[in-house]
Amino acid sequence: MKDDRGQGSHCGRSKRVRRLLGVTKVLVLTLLAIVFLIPIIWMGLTSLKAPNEVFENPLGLLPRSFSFIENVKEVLTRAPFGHYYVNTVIITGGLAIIQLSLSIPAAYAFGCLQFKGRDVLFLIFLTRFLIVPAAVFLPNYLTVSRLHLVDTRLGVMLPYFASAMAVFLLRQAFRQIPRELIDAAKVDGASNLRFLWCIGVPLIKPAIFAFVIISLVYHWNEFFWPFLVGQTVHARTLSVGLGRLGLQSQSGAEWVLTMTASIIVSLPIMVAFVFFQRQFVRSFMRTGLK
Amino acid sequence: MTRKTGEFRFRRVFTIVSPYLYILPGFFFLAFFTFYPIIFSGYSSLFSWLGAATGGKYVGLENYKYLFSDPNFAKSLLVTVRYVIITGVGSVGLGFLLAVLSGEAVKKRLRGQGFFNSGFFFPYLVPWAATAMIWLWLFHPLHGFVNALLGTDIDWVRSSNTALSAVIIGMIWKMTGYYFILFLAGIQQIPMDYYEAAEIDGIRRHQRLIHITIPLLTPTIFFVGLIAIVSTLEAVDLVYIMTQGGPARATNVLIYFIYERAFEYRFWGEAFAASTILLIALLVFVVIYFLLLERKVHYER
Repeated sequence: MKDDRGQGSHCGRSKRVRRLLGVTKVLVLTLLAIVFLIPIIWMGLTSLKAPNEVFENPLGLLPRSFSFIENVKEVLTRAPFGHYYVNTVIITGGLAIIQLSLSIPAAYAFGCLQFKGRDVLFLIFLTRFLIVPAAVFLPNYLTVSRLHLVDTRLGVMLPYFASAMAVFLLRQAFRQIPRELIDAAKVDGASNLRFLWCIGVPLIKPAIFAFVIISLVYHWNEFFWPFLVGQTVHARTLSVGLGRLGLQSQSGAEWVLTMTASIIVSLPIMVAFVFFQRQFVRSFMRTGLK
Repeated sequence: MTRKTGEFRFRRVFTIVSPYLYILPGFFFLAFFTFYPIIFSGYSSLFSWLGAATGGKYVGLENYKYLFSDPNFAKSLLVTVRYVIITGVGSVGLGFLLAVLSGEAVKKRLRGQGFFNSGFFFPYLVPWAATAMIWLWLFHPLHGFVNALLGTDIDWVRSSNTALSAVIIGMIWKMTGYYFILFLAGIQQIPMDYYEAAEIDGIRRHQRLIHITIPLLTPTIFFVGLIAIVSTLEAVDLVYIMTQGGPARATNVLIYFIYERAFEYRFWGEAFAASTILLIALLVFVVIYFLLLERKVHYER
């Protein structure tokens, strides 16, 4: 497209050079991407091996036996990963729902309504972007323990209820709703709440989906705060269970088992990503402040 | 008549008040789990604590005095600064480089972009605990991939010279993909016309980078840099699982220091003092962030 503009004299040669450069670039990028994926491939290959196989040549990448199923069975005898799965689904799903129900009205107010102090209050909300629960874990731990919520799923979830990311993403989407549409709805006698529910929310569905992906990934992967609060099997998430298994078995050198457990914990997100790559990448792209 | 004006007045008051009602539920939790803890942390740092029990007596700045005379705290600050700067520069720099390389490919719709974009981003989706386990295994002194590849026999994680580097490498591996995506989003917003015009004017490739891409991405670079600093400062997951702050405090980053003081030594007063210092640093970054946000808004006008 660009090449047919001007530059007639050296067109042919530079075209070829450019194509060659393009191909080299793609090759280099592909190689780099493979380098980034090596640790994940290494995790996958290790989880296929029999426990003693890993102590042979580390560069002998390919497994000689297929022991994945036995490894999974062994991991399940070490820790109740099935129960952790249930906890994780309840915590991540519950959080997404709670964050949305608190953020949709707030984002609507920040995006579509006029009121005194709106911009300042919005900025104050954004501080939660930078001060995450891990940074205030100490006072929050005391709060949660005074509420007798240590070792409960609610205790794990509480500090994340207010989400700056949700308010930010949804406000942006609300702001793109044309003013005329809001005014027309008002003339027709729709209240704010009615407008929000019947017109606003359906219009910002893409932003809601984007946020749900981000929230699910974040909380599925989170370790430190859930680890502090989820002290027994009762409220532990998968990541916490894996971290604990790892801490216990570091000296025991049970690498096949820890890699299998890592696969068990990471797989849902990875599979979801493989199927919805575009949506994932776009969702995270939205989080860059515009 | 009177009833009608009453109703009218109620509606007027309601339209003024209702926006605040929309933000109230969110604000309640924000206040209770983000702002109250900051104040609570500062307040509690002025008391002596017996474990996590309430009370203790007012001791003024005694906890701070103690912290600043403790070489372990100084060590922790030093480790934190190194951890944050190296991780930040490494992951943001690498993310930027990859985005610039890949960004042009995206603009020209080259084949394979989907693969390498996803490849760089993939590690960001790996849970923290799994990331820690993977890198512990890669860094294993006898059977690890890294030593086998380099032909060395370094005990990466259990030697105080290399432990911090091991953690930082894990951090960079995990975080680069996210910054890459943010930069890529920035590059995609640069209008294609700029590059086409530059090409017609015969401006060379690297000059295009210096004169178009970097200036237009400057606000994004600041934002991503800030986000990287803050999120590294707050990320203690790899340290917790890979090294537990050791060996010889080589990876004792500030949040781990706070955790250790409170949960292992039971010195909650000092832990609160350290936590307050961390929060003050974070609030400084929040202010910088607001200033950037404001400037960026002006910039876009």
